[in-house]
Amino acid sequence: MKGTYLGEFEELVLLTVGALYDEAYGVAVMDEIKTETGRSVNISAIHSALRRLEEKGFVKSRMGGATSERGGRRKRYFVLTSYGKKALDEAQSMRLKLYNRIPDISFGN
Amino acid sequence: MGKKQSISPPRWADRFLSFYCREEFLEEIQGDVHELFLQRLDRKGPTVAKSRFVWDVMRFFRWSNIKHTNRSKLNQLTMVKNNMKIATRSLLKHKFYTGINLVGISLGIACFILTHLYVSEELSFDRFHEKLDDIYRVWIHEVDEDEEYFDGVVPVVMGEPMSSDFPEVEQTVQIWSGVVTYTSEDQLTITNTLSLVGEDFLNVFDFKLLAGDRETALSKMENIVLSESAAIERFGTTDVMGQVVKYQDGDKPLEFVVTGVIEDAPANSSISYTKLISDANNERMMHEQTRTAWYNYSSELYVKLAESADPIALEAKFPDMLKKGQGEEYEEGYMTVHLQPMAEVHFDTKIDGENQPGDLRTVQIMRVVGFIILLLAGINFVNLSVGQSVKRAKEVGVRKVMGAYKRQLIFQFLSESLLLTFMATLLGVGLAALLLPVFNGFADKALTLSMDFALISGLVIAMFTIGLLSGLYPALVLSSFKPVKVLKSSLSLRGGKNRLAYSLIVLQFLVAIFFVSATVIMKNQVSYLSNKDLGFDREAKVYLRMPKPAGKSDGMMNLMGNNMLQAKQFVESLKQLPDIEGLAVANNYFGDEGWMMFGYDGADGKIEKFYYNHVDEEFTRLFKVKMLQGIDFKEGTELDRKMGILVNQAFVDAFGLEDPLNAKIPGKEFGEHKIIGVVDNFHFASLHKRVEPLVMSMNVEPIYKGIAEISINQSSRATVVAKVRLDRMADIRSEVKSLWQERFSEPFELRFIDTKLEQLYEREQRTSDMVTLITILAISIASLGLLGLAALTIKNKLREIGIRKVLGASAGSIFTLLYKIFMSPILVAFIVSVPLTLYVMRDWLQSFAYQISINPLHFLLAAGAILLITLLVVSFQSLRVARANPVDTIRYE
Repeated sequence: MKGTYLGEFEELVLLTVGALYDEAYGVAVMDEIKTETGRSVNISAIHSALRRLEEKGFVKSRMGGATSERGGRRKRYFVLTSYGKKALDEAQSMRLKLYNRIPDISFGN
Repeated sequence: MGKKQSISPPRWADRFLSFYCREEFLEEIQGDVHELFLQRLDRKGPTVAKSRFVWDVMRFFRWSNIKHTNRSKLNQLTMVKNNMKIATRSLLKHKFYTGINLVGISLGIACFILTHLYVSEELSFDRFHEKLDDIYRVWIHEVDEDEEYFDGVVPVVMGEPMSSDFPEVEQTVQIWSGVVTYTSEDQLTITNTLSLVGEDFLNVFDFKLLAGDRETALSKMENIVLSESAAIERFGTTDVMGQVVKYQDGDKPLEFVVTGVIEDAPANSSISYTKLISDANNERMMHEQTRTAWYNYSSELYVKLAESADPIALEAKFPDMLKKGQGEEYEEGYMTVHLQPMAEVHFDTKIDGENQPGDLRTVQIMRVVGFIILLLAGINFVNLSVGQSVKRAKEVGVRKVMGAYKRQLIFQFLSESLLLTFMATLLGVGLAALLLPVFNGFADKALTLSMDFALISGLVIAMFTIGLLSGLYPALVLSSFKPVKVLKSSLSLRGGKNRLAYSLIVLQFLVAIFFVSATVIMKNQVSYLSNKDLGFDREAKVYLRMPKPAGKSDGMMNLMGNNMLQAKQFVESLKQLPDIEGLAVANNYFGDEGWMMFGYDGADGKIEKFYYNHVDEEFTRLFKVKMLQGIDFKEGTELDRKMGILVNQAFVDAFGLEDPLNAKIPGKEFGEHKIIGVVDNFHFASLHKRVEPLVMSMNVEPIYKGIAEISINQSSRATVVAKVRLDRMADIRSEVKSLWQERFSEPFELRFIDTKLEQLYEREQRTSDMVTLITILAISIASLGLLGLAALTIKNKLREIGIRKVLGASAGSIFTLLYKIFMSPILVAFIVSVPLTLYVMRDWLQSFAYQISINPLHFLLAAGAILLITLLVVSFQSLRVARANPVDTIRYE
């Protein structure tokens, strides 16, 4: 059902938000993904993903205080909700469960 | 990073972002892209940073980020469309009320437009001069013991010191009118007025010069600048540069070369002109006295001060100028020279100028009246829609049951009333365009329907105000109905609604009664003025002014004498015409603002004044002026004619002569004279003024000796007055004309004194006409409202009437019942209107020395008229009902 499904990119963003904890906003998430995965993502994609995640209730956001950089514009900070954490956990455990079922044999060589 | 701070992302992209992005996301998105930009600027340089910035902005351009106004607008549009559809249907369904409202409001709007045009033209007078704030009109204040004069016309001789003695005065412009003639191709002698103006005329004032050079067009004596219409009149084209224009000034030929073509004097200009020539012509065109005498007031004078100049400080220096100019004749404090800002010239009624001043009060009245009429129309609309709304209650109930929100219902009613006012506004504009020529006739204006910003915004505001106000009440009341209540029983709206409607009706009647009684009073006053016994017989009198006598004459007295002689000779030749029943000569005739006035040093050193007319022995006889004492010149001896004078009763009273026939004018210097008779006070000036002391004589000499000053309102040219047989007028005209042409080369102008007299009250006549027009409008609007209201009331009472009829009421008693409903608001309005009318109209009547007294009849007449209209309207509506078969009305339950 829509709302609980977590796409691959969404999961990545959600993970990053979780990892950055209190410091997760658009550009930071993008940079983090870039450094951690080497994946170059457009900032608009990050925004869309974050907004979708918020709609689904996986993250919540607040506007930060005024900044001295970026022309004084405020940042929107995202944090993981417990529901989001649960979704990550589920995805993780499902992945683990499947992963663990992989026969322990050597592949190819 | 610091050094690159000055490089900013492409502005257009940034703006595009702010343009499309939803408010709630804009800040974060913009913040992020800007942060990225700065990052990239630091690492990769401006080119990359900029292009990536643009790319980012483009990428953000996606559905979820775009402002969603379009989607919601679409939804609302559908609602509006639906509302409009319902509104149209409902308007069409109630054709009668729609018609009444449409006519009423469009009349109101039309009236509003017309008054606005009038007011804005009056207020725009002279505003087109760029240097307006620095231009002043020079005027003279003369103070006497008990009288004072305000003259906008000053001595020509003042122009010179004005321009050379004061550094504050940058430019001076005299405007002096000289009359010249020329012979047209078909041998007609045509009179033209030339304006002798200073060279700076074109620089000080901002009249558009269509051809020629502003600086030099009037620099030489031979130059002439023609207005467009003057050029067309003379040459049939405006391409007249370099053409030669010839005139005849008496016997002097004048020749000019056209050096400029100027726009026709705008309708909203205090200064008018047709042909301009340089003041270098002063010498050859003005009488020497005119040019050099300080007591000869004949020229308008405007000055342009330096921007920093203080007009008050400048005024303080004028007495020195007078002292220098007048020399021994200078008299401390008698004559003072002042400056009046040009912006104030148009509405100034105090200073006698060359132009008819605007009437500020009329302008204010018109402005208020425009609003009042619009208000009346609005009131109608409100009243009718409130009344109408009861019938829509069921519709509202059904809508509510179907789930309509209160807000939607309000919108629905509002769109209905807005649609109607919108259509009415369009109609009103059309109506105004149709009525404009009529209105122009009344107001003596040449207004055109130009849609300027003020008018359009005014109309839009008016439209919305009327639309909203009239829609709001029903909208709010109806939308708050409880649907069950509405649907279950027929609902009646009593109490609050009725009180509102009642007071609105009272207001409407009040305005109507006020206008009607004001019209009645004005009409009475104007007809009183034109029919008042003026103390002389004005029937069938024509007048003919003598030309300026040939040859040089020195001094005023000789001029008058010669002119008189000339007139007498002409009279002799006129005597042979059988259809002329009487002839007289005088140098002042009736219908001008005043006769010539003489002043002399009275007994105790104060200046005494009286009016004077140089007459012949027939004058008092021809005009049937009543003799109170003594004899007239006709009966007098040769000596009486030479030395005798006639005075009027006002003279006797003013100078306190106990035995006038043995008295003399109480002054030392007068020549040998004798008062031979006293005439009744006849109104030789307009009825705005009381009758002033007057002296008439056949020989001006003894009087002339004693006077110290003369003030002349009209040229003192001798005038032949003839009593004619009206049925033979055409013949008389041609006979007199041929006699005239035998003697004189000047143009022939024979006019009726009656017509001239009427012109004295032209302004009052015009105001009265305008008020009549407004009254008709107000009454039509009020009757329309009444018609609608009567129809509604009767409809609401159908069942009651039915039952009454079943119980045996007669048609007559039904009528009475219905009339009663409308009697009480009329009564209340009438009571309130009386003091209001008294207050306003007394003020207006104050401007006449001779006025009618307001009597109750005026009010009764007005109330009667309104009552009659009400009865007619109500009867029209009730006739059907009173006659109807009660079965038809009560069977529905």
